Amino acid sequence: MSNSLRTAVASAIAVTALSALAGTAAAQGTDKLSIHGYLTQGYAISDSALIEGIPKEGTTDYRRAALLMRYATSDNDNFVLQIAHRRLGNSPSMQFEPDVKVDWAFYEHTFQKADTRLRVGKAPIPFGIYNETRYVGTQLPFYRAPYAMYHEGIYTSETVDGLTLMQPIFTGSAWAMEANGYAGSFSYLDFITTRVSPTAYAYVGQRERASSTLGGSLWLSTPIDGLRFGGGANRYTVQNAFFQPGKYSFDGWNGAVDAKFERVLLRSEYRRLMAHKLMDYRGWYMQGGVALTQKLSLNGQAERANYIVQPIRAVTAGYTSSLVRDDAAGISYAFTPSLLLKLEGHQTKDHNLESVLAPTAAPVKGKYFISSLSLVF
Amino acid sequence: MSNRWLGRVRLAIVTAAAVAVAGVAPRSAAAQSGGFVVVVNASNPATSISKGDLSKLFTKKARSWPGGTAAMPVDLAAGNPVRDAFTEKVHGKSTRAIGSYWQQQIFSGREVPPPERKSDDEVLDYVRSNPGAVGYVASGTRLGGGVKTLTVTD
Repeated sequence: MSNSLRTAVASAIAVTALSALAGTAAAQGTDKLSIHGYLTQGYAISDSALIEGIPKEGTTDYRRAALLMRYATSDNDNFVLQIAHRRLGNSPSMQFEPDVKVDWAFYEHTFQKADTRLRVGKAPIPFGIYNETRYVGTQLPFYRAPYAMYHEGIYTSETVDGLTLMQPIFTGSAWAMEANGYAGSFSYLDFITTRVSPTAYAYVGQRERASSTLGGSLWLSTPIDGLRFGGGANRYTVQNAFFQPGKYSFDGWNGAVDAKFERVLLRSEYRRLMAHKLMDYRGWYMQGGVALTQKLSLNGQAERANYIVQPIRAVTAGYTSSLVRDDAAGISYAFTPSLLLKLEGHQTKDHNLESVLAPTAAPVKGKYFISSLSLVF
Repeated sequence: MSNRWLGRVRLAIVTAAAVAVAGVAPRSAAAQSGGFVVVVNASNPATSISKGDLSKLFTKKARSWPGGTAAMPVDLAAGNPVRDAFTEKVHGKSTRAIGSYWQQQIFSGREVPPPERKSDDEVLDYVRSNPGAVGYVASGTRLGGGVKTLTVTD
């Protein structure tokens, strides 16, 4: 039996065993300690280049899992720890990914009078619709949160090491708001395509540290239950990044429309991230879904992102790249609210590939398919 | 074995596993109708509460009573028809929608659902033992001392 088939069988057994628990699975713990978790196991196959770790021969080495523990030391104090595991198939970014990692570790205090929450430690960034739950399969219409907005594997961090503040405003009003702020630092994986000979390119990567991070977001609810609008901004500094000696400040802002009703889902977000004299990234997506029955849903998604790179002396000429151009359709079936099967097809024409490709080359067309089973408890 | 064939086998295994486990998810999502009464600790000065305010307490969008006492909601276990009735009448949403709300809260690290108790008697014990507690039990349940009912208004 080949290694890949052995991996496939092992994954299927793991999914079956875990799913068999779904009927009886419940959060564990006491009134003070709660333990929850999630697992998404996927099978993915591409028809051409390596896309998001998905090879032509297909892979079952495609999953996310986490165990989330929350311990209440008092009515207003909690300690939260999440450990996680993720596999992205054959993605070169996996060489930087440990098998198990501490995702979150933070202490949270709630100032009860104003309902203000302060988190200290490694906590999820309150960014956009999906960032805080970006790997929870039962909360996503597709396998991953839209790449153009959130990325995966490279150029992204789900968390910030520092302080996070959450403040509800006008909670009794139909126009209730939630303000969030965060400060600290985070790390992310930097990957670039670099010329290694006059005709050949290679991928190289390294971890970067973003410091002096400051960001915030604001969500506005409306009298229409399920409809809200959001926006945010952030700034951080990276020093001596890949082939970029010196200090660069990155400024970003984003906006969102989020309409989640009993049977219909409509979401769109826009993001812009700029570094002076270095790059300008603009991405957006639109997502729609309709629940045909209590269990069966159809989903569609379009996402786009362009990336403008300024010339870097002795390294690269400036260029504009169609980084993401991905259209997707999918179907999901919820056996229970805690067990969800998704089948999805994607069509791409972009540079968001992990096969080595010159940044100035023409966009590559491709298709990929993901089937996944998600379980939460 | 060709790569394409292997791919089909893998897809079939994952899909078959999913289909196979469908049968082990026995809980019916259909809520059965069932009357309930809302109960609080006898020391709680409130005599009535609106559906909206009660919903906020059970979704933890509000965390305290008007006097400042910390609210401690308690649920009946998932699948209990009285809980289904409470969810639909008080939250105005399906149990599935409320389940999705709690998944969002849990996995964003923000909040966990109220503790669950398996029976009406266990809910009453919890409410009796905690001054800020609020729960619900089936209509006609013998309440005993230390607990009183709240009138729920629109």
